[in-house]
Amino acid sequence: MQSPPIERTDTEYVDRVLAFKARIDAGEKVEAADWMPDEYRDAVLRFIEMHANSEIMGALPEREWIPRAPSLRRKLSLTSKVQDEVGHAQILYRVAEDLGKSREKMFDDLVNGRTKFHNVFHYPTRSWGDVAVIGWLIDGAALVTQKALLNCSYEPYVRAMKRICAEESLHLRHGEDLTLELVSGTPEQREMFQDAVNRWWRPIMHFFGPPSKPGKDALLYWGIKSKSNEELRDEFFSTYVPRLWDLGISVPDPELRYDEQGGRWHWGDPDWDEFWQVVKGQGPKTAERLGLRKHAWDTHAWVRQAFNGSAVA
Amino acid sequence: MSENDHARLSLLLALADDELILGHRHSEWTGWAPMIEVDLAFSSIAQDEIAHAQILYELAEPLDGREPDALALGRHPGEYRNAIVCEHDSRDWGYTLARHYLYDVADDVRLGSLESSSWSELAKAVSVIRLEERYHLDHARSWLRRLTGAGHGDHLSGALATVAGEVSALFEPLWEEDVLVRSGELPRPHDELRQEWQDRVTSELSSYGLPVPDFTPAATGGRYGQRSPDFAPLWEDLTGLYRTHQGATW
Amino acid sequence: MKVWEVFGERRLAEDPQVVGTILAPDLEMALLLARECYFRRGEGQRYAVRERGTDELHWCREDEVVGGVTDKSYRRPDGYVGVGAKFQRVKEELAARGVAPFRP
Repeated sequence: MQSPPIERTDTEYVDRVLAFKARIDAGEKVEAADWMPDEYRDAVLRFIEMHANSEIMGALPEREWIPRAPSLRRKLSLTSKVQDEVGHAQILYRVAEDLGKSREKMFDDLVNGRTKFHNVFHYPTRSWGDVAVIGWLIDGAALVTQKALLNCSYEPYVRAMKRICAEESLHLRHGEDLTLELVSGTPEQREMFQDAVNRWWRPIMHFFGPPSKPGKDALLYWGIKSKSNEELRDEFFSTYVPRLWDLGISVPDPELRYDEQGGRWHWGDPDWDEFWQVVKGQGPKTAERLGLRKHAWDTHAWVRQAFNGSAVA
Repeated sequence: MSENDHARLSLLLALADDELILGHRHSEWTGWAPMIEVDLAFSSIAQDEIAHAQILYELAEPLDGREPDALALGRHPGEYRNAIVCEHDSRDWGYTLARHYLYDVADDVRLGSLESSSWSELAKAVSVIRLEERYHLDHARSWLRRLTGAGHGDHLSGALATVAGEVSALFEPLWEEDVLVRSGELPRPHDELRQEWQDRVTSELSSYGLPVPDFTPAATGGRYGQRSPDFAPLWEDLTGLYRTHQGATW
Repeated sequence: MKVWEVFGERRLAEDPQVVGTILAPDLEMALLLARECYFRRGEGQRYAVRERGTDELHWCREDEVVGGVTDKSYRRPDGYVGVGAKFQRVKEELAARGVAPFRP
């Protein structure tokens, strides 16, 4: 039995924490106004904050293709998709704000590199093939992890995830539609998609995270996460790899295969150094994108002033 | 093509290109607008403009022969008929709001008139479009009220002064407009519409305590294929992928 | 800046339910922003906002156009109904073209 990931040792606090843990293990949910251990509040806030950051940073690679969409309908659908990601950020920042951290502070921490966002959003986009890969495979990976969060012990996050998952499912169909047009299109379009898969595969593998340590995972202890990184990646493989292969598209992992006997996927473990570098803020596009956000944030301080009712100096 | 059809096509392309090009500029804010809730609202406005352009290109198709994507994404720069004000870079939020407000009042004036066009398909399309455009005007006005009320009118007055003359050019008379006025397809000529727009803007801006800008038309010629230096990079973005893979479906 | 609770009403007879919250500086902007934050797919016919900590619900206009009127299927599930079948068709088309499925 894992002991609670807390610092304090005073009996009264420890007893309260254990009682809290028993409740959430029994399936009870926690609301914003409930008592919760400080460590739970911190853990769930940081988790949600990183999720919100990822949505708002994820908008940046995708929005590059709005001006360049190759048809009116796709211009509309891509704009609305990115709008939805901003909407997810809005929902999640509100949940985090209600846990006690202001949006100003969260944005300030984000643009100054003090908080993190998911690895996949640190990479460049190069073609419309990337738009299809992001819309189908990356959103697919996100949906696998997000569906697992529907069991989260923190109820405001569960409510947010219900709406987010419904919208991501729509994005997935959109991404699949984009993909199907490319793989059944001209040789250039097919190559565009295969090339994007080749470039994005490793970041997608990294997205699920390094090998889990279940006994030491505070997020599993507090019922914030319910599945291990490996389980989620395996689910992703089962959902998407057979479909890619059916379309004649390969993935750049020569070891990837399904082991019928073992009932799981075998894959070539990627370079985890790259993952650690990226999440520490040294991805190929990290500095540029944070710079863009910071510039937008600083330039429009006057708008926030006008909204906060502060008088102009 | 008959003179009348030529005139109708001119009108449609002017309206559609304004909406497409400005909608394109507005859509560039999606993902990094000044505030998240505002990002969502403004993105819907951008999407509406692009959808309105599509509706108008659909009306143009039987006259021109090209389908909406080919019209929107397949013409050469000199073939576009938008007012030049629509193609400028969005610069900053103050400029964007000033252009948004002045344009949407202008759009309200011209669409308000076109609702009684003798060209029934256009009149019908316009009355649908206006149901969505009402929100755009509400949005722009709310911002003016909020910003002037909070003492930030100066972010607007400079931009309004820059943009007003160029939005005036939106009402540049079309070459064959007389034909359309005679037939009732264009119920009121552009000179009259411009005056109505000027009067409305004067009265509204004064009510917000904002200085009334100079309305002398500036950056004219958009209706005749004149473009500004801002158009070429926009055109590369907007049309590049479509033109590179002619005939491909996406 | 204030927190506003946003209420949606799926059918006119139902009690309004909180669908989310937004930040907005005043009532007019709250109503304006709530519409596209939570109702851009027409999730309901009317909506209201309430400043957190107060009692009063403020409704949108009677004739508010929630969810737009022009074709918005590109942002709704009904715009993608045929995608599953399309996958099958594409598979068959590729096979006919001689593009074999990949097998490890």
